[in-house]
Amino acid sequence: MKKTNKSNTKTIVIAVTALILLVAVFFTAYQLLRQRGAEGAKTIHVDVTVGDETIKTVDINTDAEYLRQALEEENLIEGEEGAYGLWVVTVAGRTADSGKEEWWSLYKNGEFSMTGVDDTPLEDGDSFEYRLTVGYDE
Amino acid sequence: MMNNLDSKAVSDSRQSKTPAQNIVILALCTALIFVQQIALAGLPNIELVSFLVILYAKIFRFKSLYIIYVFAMLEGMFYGFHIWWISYLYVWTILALITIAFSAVKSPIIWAVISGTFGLFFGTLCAIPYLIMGGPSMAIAYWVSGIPFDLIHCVSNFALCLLLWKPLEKITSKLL
Repeated sequence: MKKTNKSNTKTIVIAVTALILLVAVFFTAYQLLRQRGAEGAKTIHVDVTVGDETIKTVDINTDAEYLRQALEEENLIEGEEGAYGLWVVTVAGRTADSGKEEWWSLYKNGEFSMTGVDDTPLEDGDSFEYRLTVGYDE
Repeated sequence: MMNNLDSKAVSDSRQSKTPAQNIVILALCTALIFVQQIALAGLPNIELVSFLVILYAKIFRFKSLYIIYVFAMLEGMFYGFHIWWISYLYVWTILALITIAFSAVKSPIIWAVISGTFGLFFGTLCAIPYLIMGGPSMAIAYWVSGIPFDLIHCVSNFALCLLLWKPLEKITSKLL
């Protein structure tokens, strides 16, 4: 009986230790692989598209390292703070109507962005597009 | 002797469930997992779906797959059948199969470790459709950007499972 208890305790200690090590591996991977914005002055291009029409096109000179700061400096975006960062609701004065399942999708250099506006890093010459998208299954 | 009688009573009770009763129980469990998911949707990767899938798979074994697939369908109908939905077709199944494989485990701490590990790898598993659709660079970008949420998922899954395992396993076992 004592032997079984000892064996159970050993299993628990090994399992918890293995999980802690895995957490450390993931944390290190994030520190090494996450995208960081470039330091210093840079120019980025931003288009805002509704349907087939580009309602705003602007070149922004900024020292910001992430997109949110650059867009807020130009008063281009407004939104709601959420658990995942800023949920962009208004771009260039156009507000997405959630009742019609409208939302702003973000593209970086022509590709759908895997990061939100808070975590999207900037490099000189980057091009962004905010596209008003209809339907949450898009 | 008393234990034998208790086991027989439990066994008789299990046999006495009609197919209709079983369907009602599975439907109630599906409703619970769906409703709590919506209720906790505002919290970043803090959810009870993992815990309930483990609990259901431990108690109902392969019957838990009915709950998982109806839940996945309800999620798709509620939120839309977007790319993330594809991962719902296999991530919960993987968790259920792992649970069935470890069903002899009694320690709540080990269940908490299993739940925490699943939370940690959730983003990795969900990156698979992006690997197929956009290649390794898209999958890695998706995975890396989600690591902070995977870490939260890991800690919250571990804590919730540790806290809720004993009382809810006892209650759910009585449904059999």
